[in-house]
Amino acid sequence: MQYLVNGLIIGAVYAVIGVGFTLIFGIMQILNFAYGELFMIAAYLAYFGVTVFMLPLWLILILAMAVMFLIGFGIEKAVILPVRMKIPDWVVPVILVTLALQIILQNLALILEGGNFLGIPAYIMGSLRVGNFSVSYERLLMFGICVATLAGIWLLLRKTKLGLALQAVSQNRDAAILSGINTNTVYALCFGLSGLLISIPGVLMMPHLYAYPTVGQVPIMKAFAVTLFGGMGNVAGAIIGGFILGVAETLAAGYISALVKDGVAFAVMILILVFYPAGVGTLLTRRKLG
Amino acid sequence: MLNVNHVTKRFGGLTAVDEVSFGLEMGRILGLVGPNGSGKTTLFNCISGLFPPSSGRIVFQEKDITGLKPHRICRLGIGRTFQLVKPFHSLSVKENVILGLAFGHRDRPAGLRAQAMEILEFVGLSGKAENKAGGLILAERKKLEIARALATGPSLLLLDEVASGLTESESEGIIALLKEINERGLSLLIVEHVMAVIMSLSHRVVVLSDGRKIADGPPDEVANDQNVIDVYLGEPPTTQVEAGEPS
Amino acid sequence: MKKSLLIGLVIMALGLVVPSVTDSEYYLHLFVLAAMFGVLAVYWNLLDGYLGLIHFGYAAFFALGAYTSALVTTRLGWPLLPAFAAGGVVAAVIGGLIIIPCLRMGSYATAIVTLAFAEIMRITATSWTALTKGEMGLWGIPPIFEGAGRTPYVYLITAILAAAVVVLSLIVRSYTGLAYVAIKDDETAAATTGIPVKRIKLTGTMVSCGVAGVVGAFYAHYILTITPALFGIAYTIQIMAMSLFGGKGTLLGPLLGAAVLLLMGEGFRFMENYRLIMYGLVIIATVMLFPEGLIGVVKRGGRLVSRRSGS
Repeated sequence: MQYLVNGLIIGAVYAVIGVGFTLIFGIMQILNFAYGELFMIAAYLAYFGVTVFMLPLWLILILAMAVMFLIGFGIEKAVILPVRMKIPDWVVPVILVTLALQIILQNLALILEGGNFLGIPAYIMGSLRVGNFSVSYERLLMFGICVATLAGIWLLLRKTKLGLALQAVSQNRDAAILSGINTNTVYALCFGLSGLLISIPGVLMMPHLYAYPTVGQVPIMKAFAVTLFGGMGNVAGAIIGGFILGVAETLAAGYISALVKDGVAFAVMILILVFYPAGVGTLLTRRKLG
Repeated sequence: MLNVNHVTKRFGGLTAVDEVSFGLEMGRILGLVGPNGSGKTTLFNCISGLFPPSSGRIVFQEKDITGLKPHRICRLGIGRTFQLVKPFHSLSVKENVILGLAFGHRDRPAGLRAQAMEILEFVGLSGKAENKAGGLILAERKKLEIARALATGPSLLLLDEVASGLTESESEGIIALLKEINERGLSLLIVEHVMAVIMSLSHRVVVLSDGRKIADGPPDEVANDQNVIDVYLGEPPTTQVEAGEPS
Repeated sequence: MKKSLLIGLVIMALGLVVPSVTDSEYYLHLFVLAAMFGVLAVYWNLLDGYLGLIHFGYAAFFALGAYTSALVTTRLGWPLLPAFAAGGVVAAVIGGLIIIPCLRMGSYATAIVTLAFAEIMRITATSWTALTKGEMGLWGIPPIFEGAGRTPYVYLITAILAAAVVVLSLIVRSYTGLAYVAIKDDETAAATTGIPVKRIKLTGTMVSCGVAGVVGAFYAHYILTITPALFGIAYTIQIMAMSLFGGKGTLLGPLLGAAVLLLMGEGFRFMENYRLIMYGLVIIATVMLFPEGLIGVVKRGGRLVSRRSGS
């Protein structure tokens, strides 16, 4: 029971991480290798928000979301767009560019902040006890914010004009262009949205992790796994995949050993791929993108 | 030589081909017609192995080929062309044909290059042998697809809309070419929107509508069949050459 | 045929000349690394540039070869030659097994499956301490040349590189090589032209992974210590960058990319931490300015020169 609750909480975080990643894949057909580094930036933002500026959590979160949206948007406009304009078959070159960005961002962090592991204390103390199991208030809050974010992104994709444009582009790029959708704007917004999404776990996970230049390796592996699980580019699948991965990992760590945690997750992924290559998410959702 | 028995192909809830049966004898030309979305190309894809039928059997020269891999079916003697032509655009015209010779037979024949030139000569592309296939005009690309299919040594050719998108004189050229191929003993199964082509070539015509077979017989008989006329909105199928459809 | 052999001879000549130009251990070591990464970049490119398979776990096969060879020599006392072969065979077989489910899926699924596989291998190598000694890594691996300095390694890796390039160039020029291009152009048309698409992709992948395994074995018996980090994505990324930077879908592009990026990495060493940033910027600049990669620039330059001299 304790494991299940912990699993669901971490699952909500994975779901947010996965959605931000799969969104870009669904719309642009690229894997953004610099995604983990956006998480890293958000983690540093949280660190400075707490230690230097002593801001409250809600303000840090909002500022981080705004900044990360701009960074995501800016990356698309500054480096991805020029490549897309220049090369007709841009998918692989763009992936290479995101790889280069990953290297650059990691080393910038190393130069600016050094290789230190910077940590912060918990945002909120105390925990909720019911019977013989307990959940810290902080984890509850994390769960609440992530679920709210997922609900928000769901509404955004389903109910807004931007969401419709995103879906249109993901389904048929050429038709979307013909119907007057500016794909360049859609791509940049998509990158911005992805940055915004990753900033949330980046800030909230900080008390449990540290900020250091290669911290992004952790979330990007989860993002890959969740995306794979849910079906590439399938937002609903990624949400389900995030929860399942969270629970599976927590159970594996609880009953077997902490070391096999990542291995179990990936082994399950490969089995799934062999049997349901479209992703388990598609079995459950039967819809593409939201 | 080819027997299609109660072939059905479903995609999820959609039945693209529904219990279609027909036969094709050695050396004959069978035309397959029907409105857009009536299942002609899907049927071609089932025969050439691109996707297996959901049910039914396809027998070719006394051998059950249902569900075999496309390259096996090709090596058994069924060649095909595509409605949206798919030559290997970054290879030269000659290399396209050489690939058919090198991979389309059970045992790789000797003297590939000379044979490739002979085939190109036959379809009238020998002058462009060294050109990149991607640079050819549509009519030439269609001929190249026929040449590549011929190179695999087929006894049956599946031709998907070879005349669509061509000018009148170009499509006459193709018709003449197909007649000549048929005279050399090959059976042809042709899907065509351009009715003039079907009418002037086919020994027999099968009409599909919504995935079902609604008529089967000699061309002039089928053209006056009431079911067929109904499907074509009350008018007999047009016999003039239309501009090709993009679909 | 002649051209392939010529390329091989040029590479051999380079390998023979280098040790007589410098006796600096450091430069010789760099040359060995460049040649090693050259083979890897060239054969990663066989997958991406020719077969259209985006392989993100390539370094894992290099590592598999290294571990296999290190284990059979240290534990079972095998001589080096069969150990190298074992490294290649294990990498080829496992590489083939992993790619089979991928062939039913799109190229992006391939990217993720191979990445996940490499990660599982890394975790296995880390946690199966009884066999691999975990994070500590394996050491005490017998060297290929006992106490002979680096020069013989230069000769050996050059020979491997030359052979690898000649073999690939022969494959690319064969009917199978034509089929590679055909599959990349249009898989459906290739299948209906009689090309066994999946089998060709499978054998191509096995060759590519097998070569990585042999190079891995060389690495193990050259560096003499190996750790699970070899399985990691970092090496694959380096190989990919070299291949794409040099020019994908060409034979010599990845070789050029490996040499230039490796030397550049060393050349920027004086910039300390800024070195890798420069590395990243150069990659981005190349993608933006020379989408065909470095080999495209060289070719264009060559044409320009020949036009000048011709007129």
